[in-house]
Formats: sequence, structure tokens, C-alpha cells
Amino acid sequence: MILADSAAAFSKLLQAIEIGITTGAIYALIAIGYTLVYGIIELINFAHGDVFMWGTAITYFVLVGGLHMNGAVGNVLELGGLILGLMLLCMVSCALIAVVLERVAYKPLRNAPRLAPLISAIGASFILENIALFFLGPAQDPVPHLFPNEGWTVFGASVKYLDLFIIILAVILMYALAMLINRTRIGRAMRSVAQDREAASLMGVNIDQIILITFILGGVLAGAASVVYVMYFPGTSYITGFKVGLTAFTAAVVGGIGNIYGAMFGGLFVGLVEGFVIQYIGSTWADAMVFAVLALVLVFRPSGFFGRLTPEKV
Amino acid sequence: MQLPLKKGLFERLDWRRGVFRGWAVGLIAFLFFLFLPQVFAPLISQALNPIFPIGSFDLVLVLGSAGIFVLMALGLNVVVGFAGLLDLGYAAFFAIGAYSYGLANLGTAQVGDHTLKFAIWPLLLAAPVIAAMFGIILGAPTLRLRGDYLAIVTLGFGEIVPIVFQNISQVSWNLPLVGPVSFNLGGANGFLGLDRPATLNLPFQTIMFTLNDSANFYYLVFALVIIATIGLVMLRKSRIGRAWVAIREDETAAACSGVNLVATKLTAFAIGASVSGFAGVLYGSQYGVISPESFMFVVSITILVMIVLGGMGSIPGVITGALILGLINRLIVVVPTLFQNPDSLLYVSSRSLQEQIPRYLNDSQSLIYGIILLLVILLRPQGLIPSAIRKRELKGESLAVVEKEGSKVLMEVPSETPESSAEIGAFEELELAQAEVVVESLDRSGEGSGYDASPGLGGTSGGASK
Repeated sequence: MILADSAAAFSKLLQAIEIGITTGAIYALIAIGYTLVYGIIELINFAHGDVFMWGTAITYFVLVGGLHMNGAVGNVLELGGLILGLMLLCMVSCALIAVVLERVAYKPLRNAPRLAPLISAIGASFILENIALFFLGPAQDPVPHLFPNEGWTVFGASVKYLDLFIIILAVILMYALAMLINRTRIGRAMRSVAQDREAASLMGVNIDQIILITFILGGVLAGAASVVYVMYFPGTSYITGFKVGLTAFTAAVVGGIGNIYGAMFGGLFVGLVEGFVIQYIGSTWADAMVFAVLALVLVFRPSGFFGRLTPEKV
Repeated sequence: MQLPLKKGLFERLDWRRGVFRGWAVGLIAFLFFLFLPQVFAPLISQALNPIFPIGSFDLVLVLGSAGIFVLMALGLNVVVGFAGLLDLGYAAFFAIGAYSYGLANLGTAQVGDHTLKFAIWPLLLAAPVIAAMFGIILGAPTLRLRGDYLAIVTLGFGEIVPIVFQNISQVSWNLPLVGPVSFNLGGANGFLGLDRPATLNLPFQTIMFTLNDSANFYYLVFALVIIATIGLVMLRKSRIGRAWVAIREDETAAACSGVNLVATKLTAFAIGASVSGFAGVLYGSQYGVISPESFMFVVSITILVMIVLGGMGSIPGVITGALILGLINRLIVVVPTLFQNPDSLLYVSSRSLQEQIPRYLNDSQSLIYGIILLLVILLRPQGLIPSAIRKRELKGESLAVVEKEGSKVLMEVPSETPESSAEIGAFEELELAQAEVVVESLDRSGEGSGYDASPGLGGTSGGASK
């Protein structure tokens, strides 16, 4: 009797962890976008969540509107091809939207007082959301399950094929990003701009180009995340970007904003918190708890887990 | 630069002075709105009859509702415009004000043995205090945060409060001194049936002040807006107002100059929250219905757009922006009904159009706000009616000392600086264009001669650093 209860409790715990890791992987991919932009131009890209949301919207339109999917795709090759195509499409579109965003809303205000780009970001976010409202409608837009709904059962917790796919995808992408940042010339340029913008430009780095590349990278990762998001939840809505974006931003802050590894860790952390809240308290409180975590972290350790406390220079 | 000059009445009433023009326009606007219900509203309704047939559109009611937005915009102006703290969760205080009215008025709350049932008047005094307390509670954690983080945390709080109100229905505690306390927060449905008529108990007479009447409600809102404006103007000119401006421009410098950062920021939050609580009580009494959905993030952004459009930090600007957007907000509800009304010019006979147009209008409301926000901040960041400080920074108006038959007069003389900020490349240049005045020679005849405009000696670098 007790053994059965504790086994059930243990599997509930494991399930929470599993959900946490899966959603955490998605949040991590989006959080990297926030942290990259903040590291380079010290601006919180409010509209990044909406870039992600547009990726999900494009996925939705392709799947439901274009291809009229209505069930799981059995053939692995077909599924793989579909996902690959969707990912390429979403990565490119999200990168495009991010580029337009940067050119229109952020570049003109690069030297303005801090309040102006922040307000511009809010305005851009609103515009993106409400254009999506026209196309997506106010309600949730469901997408049929594409992945076969099977998986393994590990100690009572179910791990589906999709979950594993998400985790592996996230790991691969993050590894590729880390390679890019650390081993390539462009990555070095990005790190230098993040460290000291004027010195980097004196060293011959094209600041505009680097900032553009940063936004493109963020968009690409968000595009990948958007495809798997639509398949995991499944479905999207125009307000998805707001909620997911805020959660991902929390992840970036928790890990230490400006720090890529921090964003990865933060994504995991926030995913786990959300998973536990959903399992043990209730899904209506998930958002509030994430915001509470954000507030706590910002109040007690604003530099996050991996960030360094930088004193404000006068 | 304050020169101790005696300003005679003649000099003060000079129509060439921008300040005089400003006050004159303000006086005209005040009189217009004061006599609106009796005199102007019927005239305007007549004039608008082709589009808005009589009976479909109550201008007084719409303006009364817009007035609530004006109050909220004035409050947010204190936090964002004066003190420079970007608060994205402003709707939370609005909700707190409305819910405190609801709790105290509905008659379902019990403290000890007493059932709480208050009319609107004591609540108009109590709700601001409650909201101010919450303003301090929610502002306290944000004290050390910079602009971006402050915005996010306030956004988070602004989201948490409606979620709390939405999810919690019945609360029953057993407090040690007071006894059992129980109240119902209404959950997702909110409150219904709050008091609309309200008796005003004056010492000599009891006046029945029905809020059902739109004119009465309008006058109430109008009076409160005037009181709030006067209070805020006095605050701005006071020591704390200057402290707020100092914090906005450069926190570190302000702290080094002896400004108590904690007290000043908390005061800004408290005052902003109390004005919003004020507005919340009015909102609750307007229709007698409160639902947690009307306090979502959209409301906070709407108010933000109002003050950005009008001019952050300038009271007449904020009132103008709030009136414009408040009218649009209210009209978006009224205009769709006109499409079905055969008496109006906007009548369309097609059924499907009649249903589609309201939907499009409603959906596009937030889109319009986003576009306005983006356009204003990119093209005219100082807003429609810039505050006096901004105007001097951006237009570079210089002050010339003129000697006129023995007495010195201070006059504003526009100098040769670009008209709009779009003509100047960076914001830094704008702030350096602030002109200092050096008087070289004074004519006996009293013409404004020889002033030397030299840029930015000791001009503020403001928030444009790095």
C-alpha cells in the first residue's frame, strides 16, 4: 500500500521533471535570443516573444491551412522531411521578422535615452501581436498531433518520442551556437561588441552588421523553438508570444542576462519550476509563479545565477 | 537659470509669451468642459446628428468615461513622466482601487460582527490610501532596479494582481484582534450590482447624488480631474517634484546631490497608485460591474500610449493625449452600433458587414495603439504638447533679458534651432542644443538686442550617456 503510494508519488515527481526538462529546452532556445540581444545592445527585446509567436503562426498556417494535416504522420521519413522543411521555413521567417524589427524599431533609437527603445519595443510587440490577432483569431488555434503519441515509460513517467526529439534538438542547436560564439571569427566579433562597442568598432568590427547577425541568430533559434512548440502543446494563439516570451525572459534573467550558458540553465530552471507548479498546484497558477520567481530573482540577485554583479559606472 | 526680475502685470499678460498662451488655452478648455453638459453637448450632438443620430450617442457619458482615463494618465504621468520609472503594471493599482470599492460597497464582506457597506464618498478618500499602500509594497522591491528591469518587474506585478483576483473567490481568515474576516473577491466573475445612487450627507442638507445620471457622473469626474491636476501641478513645483525630475535625468547624480532615492521613488509610486485607485473607484461606480478582465496588461499599455502621445511629463499634454485616446476607446464601442442604425450616414445594409466591422474595429484597437506608440517614439518623442523642460531641450528656446524703460523683463525668444527632432541625428545633439544666454549690451530703447546663444555650457547629458 505504502509502496504503491510512494511509487505513484515518485512517478509524479519524475513526470514533473520530465515535463520541466522538455519545456525548459524550448524556453532555453528562446531565452538565448533575449540574452544575445541584451548582451550586445543592452536592450530587452520585448518583441522577441512575438517573433517566436509568428514562427508558430506560420507553422500553424502551413500545417492546417496549407497541408491540411489531420492526424499523426506514420512514416518516419515523411515526418522527418516535414519537420525539416518547417524548421527551415520558420527559421528563415523568424530571422526576417527579427531583422525588420531591428531596422525599424531599434536602430533609429540606438543613441536615445534608455526609455525610448523600451517603449519602441513595447509598441513593436503590440503591433506584431495584433496583426497576428487578425490572422489567427482570438481563440486558441489547435494543431493535430503530428508525432505518434507513443514513447517509453520510465518508472511510471511517460517520455514521448516528441519530448526526446525536442531535447536533442535543443542540445544540438545550443552546441552549434556555442561553437559559433567561441570558435569562429564572427563569434569573436560578437563577443567583442558585447564587451566594448566603441573599442570593437575601432578594431574594425562592423557594429551594424554584428547587431544584425545577433538578431538573426535569435530569430533562427526562436524559429526552431516555434516548430517544436506547435507540435508539443499542440497549437498556438496570438498571445502565445507574450506568455512564452515572458517566461523565456525570466529564464534569461535567472541564468544571468547576457550570459548564454546562463540562458540555457535558466531555461531548464524555469521549465522545472513550471513543471512542478503545474503538477502539484495547478496550471492556472503557473504564470503567476513564474512572475513571482522573476521578481524574487531580480530583487535578491539581479545578476542571476551565472552573471557577475557589475557596478554601475558613472 | 532664475533671474530675480520683477514681472509686472503688463509683462506677464504679454500674448507673445508661450506660458501666457498656454494658460489662456487651458482656461478656455476648462470653461468649455465646465459648461459642456448644459451648453455645448446639445450643440455638438446636433452637429454630429448625421453620423451619430440623437439617442445613439451620449457625449457626456463618453466624456465621463474618458475622464477616468485622464485621471489614470495623470497618475502614470507622475511615475513615468516626472520620475522616469517605467511602470508597466499600472492597471494593478486601478484594479485595487476598483476592488476595494467593490468589497466595501457590496455588503458581502464581514469584519468581526460588522458587515461592510460604505457609500462612494468615504471610499473616494480611503481607496487612494489603500492603493498608495500597495504602491509602496509593489514599488519597494524595484528600488534598486534599472529602467529595463523595473519595467519587467512592474509588468509581472501587473499580471499577478488580476490573476490573483481571478482565481481567488472566498477568503476567510481569523485575525487575532479583529475577529473573523471574510470576503468574496468574486473570482472570474467579479462583482455585480454595486451602488450607483449615492447620498451626500452635508451637515445642513442631504443631497441625493444619483450617479445614474450621466451629467452628475461627468461633473464628479470633472471635479476630481481638476483637483488632481491642481494637486499634481503643485507637486511638480514643489521640492519633491524637482527631486523626481532629478531622478529621471540622472539617478547617480541626484543621489550625490542629496536626493533620498528610496523616499522619492516610493513617493512617486504611492502618488501614482493613489490616483489610479481613485480612478478605480470611479470605474467601479460607473457601471456597477467589476470584472478582472478589465484590468489586464492592455489597460496599462493604453495609459502608457496616452502619456507618450500627449507628452511625457507635461500635464496638459497628458490630459490631451488621454482625452484623444479615451475618446477613441469609447467611440470604438459606439461606432459599430451606428452601422446598424438606419438613421446614420454610416449605415450599411449588408448583414455580414454589420457583424464584421465591429469585430475588425475591436481587434484593431490594440494595433492602433501599438502603431501610435511606435510612430510617436520614433518621430516625435516629446509628444504632442511637450513639457516645458523638454521644449527647451529640443527647441533650444533661449531667454533674453530685455530692458524696457528701467524695468527688466524676461522674454522668451526662439533661437535658430531645428524644428523637429527628426532633423537632428542623435538625441545627444538635442540635449546639447540647450542655449545659454549671455547679455552683451542693452539698448536704452528696450529692444531685445545682443544675446549670445552658446550651446551647452553645462548642458545636461541626461539619460543619453552610453
